[in-house]
Parts: sequence; C-alpha cells; structure tokens
Amino acid sequence: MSMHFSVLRKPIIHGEKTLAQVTTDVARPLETRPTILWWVAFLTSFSVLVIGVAAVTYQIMTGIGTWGLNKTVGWAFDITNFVFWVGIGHAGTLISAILFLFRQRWRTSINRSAEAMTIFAVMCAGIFPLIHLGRPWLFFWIAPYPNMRGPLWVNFRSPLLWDFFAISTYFTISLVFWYIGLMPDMATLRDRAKSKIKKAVYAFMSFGWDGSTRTWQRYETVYLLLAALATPLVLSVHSIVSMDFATSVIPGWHSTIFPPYFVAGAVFSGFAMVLTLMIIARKVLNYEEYITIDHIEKMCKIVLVTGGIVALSYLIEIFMAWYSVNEYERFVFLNRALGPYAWAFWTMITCNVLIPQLLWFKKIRRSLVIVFIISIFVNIGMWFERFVIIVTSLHRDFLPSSWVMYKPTIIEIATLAGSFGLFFTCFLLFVRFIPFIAIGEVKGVLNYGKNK
Amino acid sequence: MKIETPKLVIPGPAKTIMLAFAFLGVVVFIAGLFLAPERIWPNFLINEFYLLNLGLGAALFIATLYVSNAGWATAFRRLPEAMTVVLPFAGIGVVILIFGIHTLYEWSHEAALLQDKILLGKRAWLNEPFFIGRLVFYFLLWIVLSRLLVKYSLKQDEDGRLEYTFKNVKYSAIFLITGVLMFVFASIDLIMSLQPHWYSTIFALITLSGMITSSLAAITILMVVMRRLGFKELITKDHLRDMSSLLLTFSVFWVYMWVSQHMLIWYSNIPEETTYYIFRHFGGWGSLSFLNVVLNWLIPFLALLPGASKTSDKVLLQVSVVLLIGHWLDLYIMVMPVTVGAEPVLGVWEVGMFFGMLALFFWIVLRHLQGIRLVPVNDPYLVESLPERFAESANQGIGK
Repeated sequence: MSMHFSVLRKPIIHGEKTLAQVTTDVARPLETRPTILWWVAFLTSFSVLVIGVAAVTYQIMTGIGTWGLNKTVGWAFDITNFVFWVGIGHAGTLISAILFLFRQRWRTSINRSAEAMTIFAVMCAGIFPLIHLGRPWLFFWIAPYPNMRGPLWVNFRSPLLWDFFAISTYFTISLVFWYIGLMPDMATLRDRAKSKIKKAVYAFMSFGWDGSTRTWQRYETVYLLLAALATPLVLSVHSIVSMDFATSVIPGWHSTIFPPYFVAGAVFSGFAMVLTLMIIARKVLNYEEYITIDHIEKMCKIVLVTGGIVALSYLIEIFMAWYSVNEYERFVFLNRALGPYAWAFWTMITCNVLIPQLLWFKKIRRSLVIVFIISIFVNIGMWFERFVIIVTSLHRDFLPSSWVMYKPTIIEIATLAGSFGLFFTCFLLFVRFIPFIAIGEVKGVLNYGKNK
Repeated sequence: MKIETPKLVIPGPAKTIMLAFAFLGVVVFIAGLFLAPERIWPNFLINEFYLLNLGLGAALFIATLYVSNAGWATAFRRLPEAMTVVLPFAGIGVVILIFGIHTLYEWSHEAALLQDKILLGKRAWLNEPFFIGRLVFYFLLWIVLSRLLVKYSLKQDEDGRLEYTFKNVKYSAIFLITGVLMFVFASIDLIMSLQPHWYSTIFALITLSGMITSSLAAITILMVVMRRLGFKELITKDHLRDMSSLLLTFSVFWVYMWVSQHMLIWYSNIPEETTYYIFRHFGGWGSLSFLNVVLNWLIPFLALLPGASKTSDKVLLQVSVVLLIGHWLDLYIMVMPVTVGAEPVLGVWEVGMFFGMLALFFWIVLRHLQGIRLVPVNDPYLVESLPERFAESANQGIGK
C-alpha cells in the first residue's frame, strides 16, 4: 500500500511508540501481579457464575418445570438469552474478519479482545439450548450419526438442527481464527518469559513459531483464508437463528426480513458490548494510546449505522403489518405497543431507536461517559428486542382461551446472571493470560497516517 | 502542481450507435403506446426503475465513500458522479409513468377496489393522488441531494478547500438515510403494489441489493471503457481489484436476500404469501427464475473468485454485462407475470426498450464525462488512490 496518506488521515496509535515499547506495553498486564481491582472483579464474576451453576444444577435435577413456561409460552427467557448472547458474539467476527477484508487498519487495536469476547459469548449462548433440552446429557442426539435408536435420524428440515450446525461451525472457526492470530504473540511472550514453566507453556502454545519470513507468509495466507471463511459464517449464524422464528407461521415471527434484520441487530448489540468493555479496559490497562478516542468514535458510527438498519427493520415490519390488512399481523403489532407487554416494547424502542440517535453528535461520540451509558442502554434494548419478539408473539394464542402471561422464575434469572458471570470470568482470565492487543498487527500500523 | 488529465473523447461510431439505440427505444415506446399499451407500460416501468437504480445506486456509492472517509476510489469518483446525471431523466420518466398507472396497477381502478376488502383496507396508502405525490417527493429528494454532492465535488477542483469534503460528508449521511428510506417505499409502491394483495418485509431489500449490484456493474463497465480509451494511469489494476471484490460481495448479498424471501415463503407455505411464487415457479417463469439466480449470483461468483480474474479487464467487463442483463431479468420476473401474463414473452417491446434505456444511459453519462475534468484533482483523499509516482504532486493545492 502507498506510504502517502491524505492530509485528513490521523495516526491510529498515539504517542511516538517504538516497536519495543509496543511489546512492553502489551505484555505488562501479563508480567505483573494482578491488582486488587482485578481480584474484586474476578471474585464477583466468579461468585455470580457459581450462582448460575447452582441454578442450572437445580433445574437439571428437577426439570424444566422450574421455569415460568406454560403451554402457550413454550419459549421465553431461555431462548431470549440464547439469541442475545449469539448476537453479542457477532461484533468480534465483524471486527476481525469483515473489517480485515475491508482493510480497516484501526481494527488491529481491538480485534484480539473483541474476538475473545465472541468466543466467550458463543460459549454462554450454547448453554441455553443445551439446558432447554431437559436432558442435556443426551445432547449428542442432535448430531446426525448412524445409531441404534431405530435408527432414528435428526430432522434435517428443522431450523433447530441448522442452528446446531451453524453455531458449532461458527465457534470452531472463530476459535481457530483467534488462535492463529495469537501464535506470533505467544512466541513473543515465550521469548520474554523468565520462569521455565511459563516459557514451556508459551512455547507449546506458539506451536514452535520461529518468526521466519516463510512462517509469516504462511501465517498471512491462512489468516486471509480464515477471514474469508468467517465472513459468510457470521452472516449465516444469525440468519439461521432468525429462521428458528421466521420459518414458523406465528404472526410476529414469520417475517421475511428476519435474516438481515437479525444480523444487523447482532452487530449492533455486539458493538455495544465491545464499547462497554473497551471503555473500561483501555482505562484500567492503560491502553489509551492504543485504543484511542478515535477508535471509540469509529465504533460509535458502526453502532449508529447498524442501529439505523434495526430501526428501518422495525419500521418496515410495522408498516407491513398495517399494509397486509391481515388481522393477525395487525393485532400482534398493536398488542406489542399497547398490550400487557407494552413496557417491554417501549423499553426496546427507547434503548434501540431513540437513545442511539445521540451518537449523531461528534461531541457525544467522543465523550467516554456518555458513550458508555449509551452502550449499556443498547445492551438492555437488544435483550428486550428478543424478549418482545419471542414472548409477545406467543402469549396471545390464536385461541383466546389460551391467552396467558409469562413471568420468569428466580431460577431463570439466576441462570441469566450466571451466564454473565461466566462471560466476565472468562474475560478477566483472558486479560491476565493472553495479550489484550495483537502485538504483531499493531506494530504494522504504527506508521499509519504519518507522511514520512 | 495539478495533475493534468486529458479530456475524454468518445469515438464517433460509438456515439452514433448509442444515439441510434436510444432513438430506437423512444420509437418503440411511442409505437407501443398505440399498438400494445398493455405490453409497453410494464416494459416502461422496468426500464424506468432500472434507470433510477443506476443513477441512485451511483449516488449512494458516492455517499458511502464520503461517510466512510474512503480514499481508494477517489481517482475514479467522477464516473459514479456522472451516473447521477441520469436521475433527472428518471424523474421525467416517472412523470410519463403517471399516464400508465391505470394499465399497471389494479388498485387504481375504483371498480376493482370497491369489490375487494383487502384493497379497501390499503386505500389510505394505495390511492392515486398520494401515490403520485410520494413519487414526486422521492425523486425531488434524490435529485436535489445528489446534485449537491456533485456540485461540491466539482467546486473543490477550483480552490481545493477542505470544507467541501466536510460538507459532503454531512450531506452524504443525510442522503444515505433519506435516500435508502425513500427507495424502500418506492420499491413497495412501484413494484410490490403491482400485486397489491401480496406483501413481504424483505422485498425492498432485494430491490436495494439489486440496485447496488447493477450500479456497481455499470461503474465497472465505465472503468473498463475508460481504460480502453487510454486512462490506464488513472484507473489502475488496484481499482479494478477492489471493484471486483465489491461486485462479488454484492452479488452474494443479492442472493442472500433472494434466498431469505424465497426460502421463508416456501417453508411456511402461507397462502397469502405463496401467491407470489405460484406465478413465478411454473412453466417458462420457473426456468427464468432459475436463470435469474445463475446470472445474478452463480456466474459472477464463480468468475470473480479466482485471484487472476479480479484484475482482468475482460473478465470484469463480461461479468458486469452479465449482471446488467441479470438485473433486467430480475425486474422482468418481478413485473411481467402479473401485468402481462401466464407465459414469458420476449419481443421487440422488451428488447427495444431495454437496449434503448441502456443506450440512453451510457450516452448521457459519457457525454457528461466529456465536458468535465476526469479527476477530482484537489480532493484530499486523491493521494491514496493514485499510483505512487503521482502521490507527491497530489497532496499539493489541498487544504487552503
């Protein structure tokens, strides 16, 4: 690429860093003792995780009856959490794969941590369909393989099965992609390690990386191929999740716009979560010159764009419900806005459509406190979006005698809390043991935006 | 200090051919009005919508470049800028279309309306005055905003002030929101309401992705033509590679939207929705629907995957032509089954109008390009899209 930059380009990495300084800066949290703050955060997350484990154990021993489901509302909290967490994962792949293909060089400061977030979020997501099975120890029955149960095969026409394929493939590719990107940094840590054990562990994890030109060349080829592979995968995952609903005939679920609308919503919520985490992490880990205010601003713009697509989808859905002159379609949307779950619907509209509009203002995009608050609102709003779609479409059956309300039990709430516990426990361990920023990649953009 | 760019000169025979075909298109249209009005109006709608797609798609492409602070495409941005010049012509077209409303749209007949509960329910939206008012509003908005973008881009050539870039970033953001929103409703109005009982929430996104793909294909054709006319220094292999990646991406994007609608309607099998595909799945229409996916996705996908073809003028030209024809077919399948009939027809009306529209489009665009400076010489991002040896001089004259 050309070494001449437009006068409007700004450097990606602030401060006049040398190559060695980058390594030292990134390796610092891994080579020092954890702070009190880290311990407090870790123990809190871990305790919440333990609560979640207890709730899930109780639920598995007793049965799904511990949830608030009933014969009308057969999907509610659990599936909401599942879709929420899968969505959170999408930002990581967008940053690491799609922005890579678009040659967005600023991604180098955040791709490692966002991808780690993807992996943890998909892990959290995976729990929910698993426990929803009721007999999670028989989960392998989902996999199609020759068996002695009849033989009883899985139903290939079921979107739930496509989910299993999509998510397991997505998780595998994300993990491999993330790990490949990690290898040169593992070698760096190996070379810096003082203790023998540490050296041995990092040497093993770096797969004997030798840093030769040939190694780098192969690394870059594999990286490009995996990026190209991960891109359609990330789109397919949430498209297939949306088909869990859209292939049905339930008004409010069956809508042809669901696949692209879910993908946009996923990226929207994922970026909100990345913002939430990055704003804290850059401060605590002292990475403000790597994850700069410009990075925050760019992510805000992506939140604004994807939020715009989500808002457009809401508008099209509501317009079409009216335009269809179909009484069931019209009722579902009226019921969402004015029925017993109206509070959830208006929470969703406020958090997902109204509040993000503040990001039109440059001043707000560059104000860390306000961006942090907005990102929390988007996280909440996107959780409620799935809740609204799932519960409001179900709780008013075609048969009015079956009309009911759904209320989550304490077990369900504890399970959701536990998934957050798992997510943050994993994330905090990641911060301690794996370089938060891709050292090798950031070194490549040190001179970006500087005309000689 | 300025990069000198030679003017574009269109070879004489090319000019004659384009004008001849454009004239032929007009003749076919006028003859059709008298000889086969029920055939000519659907064809007029297809080509009118197509012309809008080419102009608006190019304008949205420019707007996207501005809001994303992109530098890679600045060297050839004048080509999509020239394409937006067809928008006023599409505006004239939509005024002509008003005379065809009764031939095209079932809901515009009072008698049909009164016997139909569903159509009565949609009357607040689907009625002539509001329909015409909306169309006029959409077109005015697109024309005004795209004019602004081009105006400031040309002004920057003179004094190189950065404010023009900042202004265009703002207008582009406004344009992207309002322009796309209006296009969504224009697609529902012009195309979806041809079958007024039927509805699909993703429909406008299918037409939107078709618009993006076809306008990118037209930009690519213009790039290859310019390279053949001697502008290889300006429009480089790097530009071709990026355009081919975009073509590949958006042809996959189109098929993603297409499959989403098709698969979900097939799977749920709800009678209100399957009516759309019942028209389009049997007999000749079934083969054409299959061909649609082959032209708009399979061929571009397979042709553009190999690295070598990404910078080949020849491959890109061929793929772009396939995409242009494919997009026409896509619109043809959307419009014709409900307006013309049970079996596909291809005659002088279809071919004459389509070639006439394409000739008119290329003639307008190339004629406009003849009269302007082909490079935005003072654009602050130009330096990033020029070969290394021009870069030194490109950053001068900017930012005063």
